[in-house]
Amino acid sequence: MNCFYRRLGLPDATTSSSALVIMLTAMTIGCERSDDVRVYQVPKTPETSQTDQPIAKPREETSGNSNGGQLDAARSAQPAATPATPSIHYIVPENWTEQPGDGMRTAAFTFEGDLGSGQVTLIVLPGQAGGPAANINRWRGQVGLEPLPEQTAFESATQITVDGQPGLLVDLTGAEISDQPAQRIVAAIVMHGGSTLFVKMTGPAELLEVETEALNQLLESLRLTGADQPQQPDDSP
Amino acid sequence: MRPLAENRYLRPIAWLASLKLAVVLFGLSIVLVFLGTLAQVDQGIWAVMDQYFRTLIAQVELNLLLPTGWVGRATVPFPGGWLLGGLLMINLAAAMIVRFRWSWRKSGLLLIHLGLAVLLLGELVTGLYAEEAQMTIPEGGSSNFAEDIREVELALVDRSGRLADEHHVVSQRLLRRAASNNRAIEDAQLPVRVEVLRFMSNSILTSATMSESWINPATRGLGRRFLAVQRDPVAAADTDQTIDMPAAYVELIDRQSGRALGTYLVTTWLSNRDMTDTIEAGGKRYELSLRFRRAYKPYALHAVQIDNDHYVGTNIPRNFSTRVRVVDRLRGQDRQFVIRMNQPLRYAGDTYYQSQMAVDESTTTFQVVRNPGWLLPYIACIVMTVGMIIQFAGSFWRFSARAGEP
Repeated sequence: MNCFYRRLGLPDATTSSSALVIMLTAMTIGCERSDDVRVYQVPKTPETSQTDQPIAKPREETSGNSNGGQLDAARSAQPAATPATPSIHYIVPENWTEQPGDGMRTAAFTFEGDLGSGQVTLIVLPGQAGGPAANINRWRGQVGLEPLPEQTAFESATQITVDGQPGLLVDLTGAEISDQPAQRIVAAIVMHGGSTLFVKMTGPAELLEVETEALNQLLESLRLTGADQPQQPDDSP
Repeated sequence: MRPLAENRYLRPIAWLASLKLAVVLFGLSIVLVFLGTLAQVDQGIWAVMDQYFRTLIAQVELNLLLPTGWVGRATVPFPGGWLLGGLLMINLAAAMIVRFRWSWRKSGLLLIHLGLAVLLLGELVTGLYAEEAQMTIPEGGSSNFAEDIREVELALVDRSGRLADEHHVVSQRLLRRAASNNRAIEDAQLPVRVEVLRFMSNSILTSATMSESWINPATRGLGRRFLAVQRDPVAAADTDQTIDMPAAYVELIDRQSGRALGTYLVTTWLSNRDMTDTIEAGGKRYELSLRFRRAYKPYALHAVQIDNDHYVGTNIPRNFSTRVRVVDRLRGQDRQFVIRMNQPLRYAGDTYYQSQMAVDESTTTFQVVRNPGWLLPYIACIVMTVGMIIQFAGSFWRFSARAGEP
C-alpha cells in the first residue's frame, strides 16, 4: 500500500490519514454556524394554522365571584406540562371600593379615611415571581427601609394560611420623611399551584392601622381553586 | 521502511509528537473537568458546557477555589475543551506521523488511536451542530416546531402572506453582544434597526403599577403595563429545576423611514402567554416577541392519545406513551406512531423522546434531538474494539508461538 502512495509522490498511508484527520478537524472548527439573523417562511397549511403557536397553554379555569371580580392566573415558569391556572374568589370589605382590573387582570381596591387614602391590589404571577425574600426587600425599599439578607428577610415574615394554603404575611412601616406621614405596606404572599398570589395593602401607617382588620377579612374570604396541587413556599421558616 | 522523521519536511512537527506534551494536555484536561464540575454548583450545566468545554479559552471564576470576598467575580483564562481536545488530536496525529512504523503487527494500535480520534471528532461535531429542543402538544392538538428553552430569539413575524408567514429572527448571541457593546443591530434582513438597551438572562415580571420606585424604560406596548426585573440565572443545584426567563428592553427604528417606533419590553414571560406587541415598519405589520429559539419542521405532529399510567395504588410511573400522527406533505406521509419511554421516534433526522406529560394527560412533551454526528461515537467504539481485538489477539498469538519453542 505504501508503494502505491510513493508512486503518486504522496506520504505514506499513516501520514495521509493523519493529515486528513487534522484537516477535517480544522475544517470543522472553521465551519461555525453563522445564523445571528435569519429569515424563513413558515407555510400556512391546515396543520400549521392550527399549531403555529407557542407551547400549549394550560386549560384555564376562570369564574367570577359575587362582586364580579375575576383574576386570570399566569402560567408557571416551566414551559412543559404546566398546571391549570387558579381562579380566585373573594368578598370585598364594606368600605372598600373595587377598581377595574388592569395589566395582568389584577383586582384592586381603594379606601379612604381621615388620615388619607390607601389601596389594595391582588395579583397572580407565574412561578415564584422572584421568591418571597426578593419581594420583601423590594417592598422594604418602597417604604424607605434598608434591604435585609435573604434569610433574615424571610424570617421577618409571619406564616399564615389562606384557604388552606401556606403563605407569608409581611408588615413594613417606614419612617416619616419631613412632613410626609410614614408609609406602611401589609402584604401576603401565597404559593398556589404553579403561581404566586400577592395581596398588598399600601398607604399611610396610621390609616392602615384601622384597615388591617378589613385586610384580614379579605384574606379569610379568599378561595383559591383550579390548580393541581398546593406547593410550599420556598425556604419557609 | 525509513522512519518518517528523517523526512526533512516533517522534522519541524516532531515536537508536536512529544509524549511530555500529551501528559501535560491530559493533566490540563483533568483540571478543566474538575473546575467545570465545581462551576455547576452555581451555573446551569449548559452554561458550564459553553463556558468551559465548548470553547477555545475558558474563563474560570476564581471564586471556585478562593473565597468570594477575596476575589469577587474575577476570572482567569484557561485552555478550554476545544483547545485541549484539538491539541490532543494534533499530538496524536503528529505522533503517528513521526514515530509510527506501519506494519500489520501495529494495525491494532493504529485502529485504537484512529477510533479515539473519531470519538474526539464526534464530540466536536456534536458541540457545533447538535440541536436539542422540546415540543409540547396538547392531546388532540398538533405542533410543527420545537423550542430550545436554553436560548431565546427576538422575532418579528409578518403574517400578511396568503400562503406563509415570514419570520425575522435575531439570535440571543447578537442581542447580548449588542447590549454589552452598546451597538445597534442593523441588518438588511430586518425591517427595523434594533438597539438593545438591556438584556436580562433571567428575570421576574411584575406589574408596572406595583413598582412605582422603578424606572420603566418602555415607552410603548405591553412594557407600559409590565416591568421586568433582573434576577440571577438559575443554578444547576436549584432544587426547583426552574428555567431562565430572559427579558430585554429594545428600541426599534424603522429602517425604511428612519422613524423611531419606541422602546418595547420583550420577554418569554409574555410570549409564553401569547402576549405580543404589534409594530409597523416598512409598510408592514409585525408581531414582536422574545421567544425560545424555534426550529420549525416541514411536517406536523398530532397528539392522538396520551397515556400516563401508574402502577395501581401508587404514583410510580408504569407507562408514559403518546400515540402521534405524523403529517408530512413534503414526503407524502400520514402515519401513526407510538412514542414511549425508551422507544423514541426517529423521523427525518429528528429523534423524539418521550420526556414529560401532564398528570391529567392533557399535554405531552417530547425532547427533540437532531445530531448529525450521532453515529460517530458508535463508529469510534467499534473501531477501537476491533483494534483491541487485533492487538491482543496478535500479542497472544506471538506469545503462544514463543511458548511452543524449545
